[in-house]
Amino acid sequence: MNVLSGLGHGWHNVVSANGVTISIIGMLLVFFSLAVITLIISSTPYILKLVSRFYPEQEESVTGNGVKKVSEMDIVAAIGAALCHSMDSSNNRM
Amino acid sequence: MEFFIDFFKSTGFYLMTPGNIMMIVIGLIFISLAIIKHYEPLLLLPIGFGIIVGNIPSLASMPLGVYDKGSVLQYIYFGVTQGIFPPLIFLGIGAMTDFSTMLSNPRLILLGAAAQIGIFLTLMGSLYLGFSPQEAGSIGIIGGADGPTAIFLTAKLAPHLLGAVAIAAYSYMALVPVIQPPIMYLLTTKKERLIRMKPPRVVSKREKIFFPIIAFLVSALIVPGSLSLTGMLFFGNLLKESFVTERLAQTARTALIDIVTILLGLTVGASTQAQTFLTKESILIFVMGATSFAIATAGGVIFAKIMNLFSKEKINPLIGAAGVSAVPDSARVAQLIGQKEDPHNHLLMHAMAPNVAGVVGSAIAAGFLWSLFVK
Repeated sequence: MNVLSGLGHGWHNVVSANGVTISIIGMLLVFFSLAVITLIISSTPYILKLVSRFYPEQEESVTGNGVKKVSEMDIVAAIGAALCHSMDSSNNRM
Repeated sequence: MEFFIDFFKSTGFYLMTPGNIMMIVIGLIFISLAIIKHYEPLLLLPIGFGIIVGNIPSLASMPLGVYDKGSVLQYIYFGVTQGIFPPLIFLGIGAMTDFSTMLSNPRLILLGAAAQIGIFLTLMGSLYLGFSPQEAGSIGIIGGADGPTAIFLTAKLAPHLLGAVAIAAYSYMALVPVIQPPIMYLLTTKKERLIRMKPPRVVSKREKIFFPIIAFLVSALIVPGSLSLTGMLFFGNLLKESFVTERLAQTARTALIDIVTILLGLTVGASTQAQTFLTKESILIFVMGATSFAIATAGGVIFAKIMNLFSKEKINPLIGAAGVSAVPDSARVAQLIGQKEDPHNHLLMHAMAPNVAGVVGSAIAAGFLWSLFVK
């Protein structure tokens, strides 16, 4: 096992392994990669707007939670059905 | 009588060392934390049981442990040592991750980058302590708070540290609700913790499909070393978001990831045999891992505060702590602390953005360190 391989501890270890340079470059690289992704994501809605002029997106739109959008009438119908069901079950219990 | 004595000498009772007993107790603590405290039970339970399995002593002539050639555990452990399991776990993570909140507020991605500072500062700290660059990189990656990434990089750079690094990474991931809050309270004011953020906008299906392809191209072209991890992560996400491969996405996010987690957890636990695990270096790795994790948390929070100096729409700095991957626990911690100050402030959605960005960031950091230190 080549752990703590007789180098002792000290700043010279960091310098000889280019620790500071590696850390700075590594951090910059992570930032750069994610910043590029950020920029692309930010511009995506505009690009897609242009694209949808020629190829409009199909109606099946999805909310942020991945849940399909439904009309208000559907929601009212679902609430009504749930109420009806709960009243039925409470009557049965009685 | 002699037969009985010979048999007794082959039993675990006779061969057991104090180190084995200590490791078995640690295994039992892991299992207790999983069952009683519900700390990352999906990971701590298999790892805890694996620790017990790995510390049952046996005769040298019987191949039983993960390090014994030809043993069953060694064949399973092959997936860990060769870095096969981590990308498969990333595939599952990709198939279960919703990047919507990140896509709706892209600037939060930078918080995921800032939290990676823990990796690089710990790398320097480990070099200072006398670890080789390969070992220092493997220890530093613990700060990414991403178990599969830590295992992947350590398997490539410093396989002899695999047990210690994996256990440290998963322990700190499980201890997110304990480690992070004090740092978050220390670095934020009550006023900052009360900041409410705008609800995320609706993200179109096309954006969701576009994202994994573009993000993969960018990360893999800049840091090809991250290809195995980011490739599988974004492939899994594309399976989910395309809506045409629902069966594949379903398998990746359920059966596949569960099977791999069981095999990985059990064998990583079994790799912590007292003889190889209870060393001064392991203790140092645990200390450096905790430091790395704390720095990463602080890095995310401080960067959120810096961003607030320049932006009109304020960010609640608590979500900066979620930049340390550990999906979704660190996001949940941000939500809990935010709700303690204001019960109607829902930060979870916002915290998921730096959280998933942290996964990508730590994979990129791992790819960079691998390409740099590969022999």
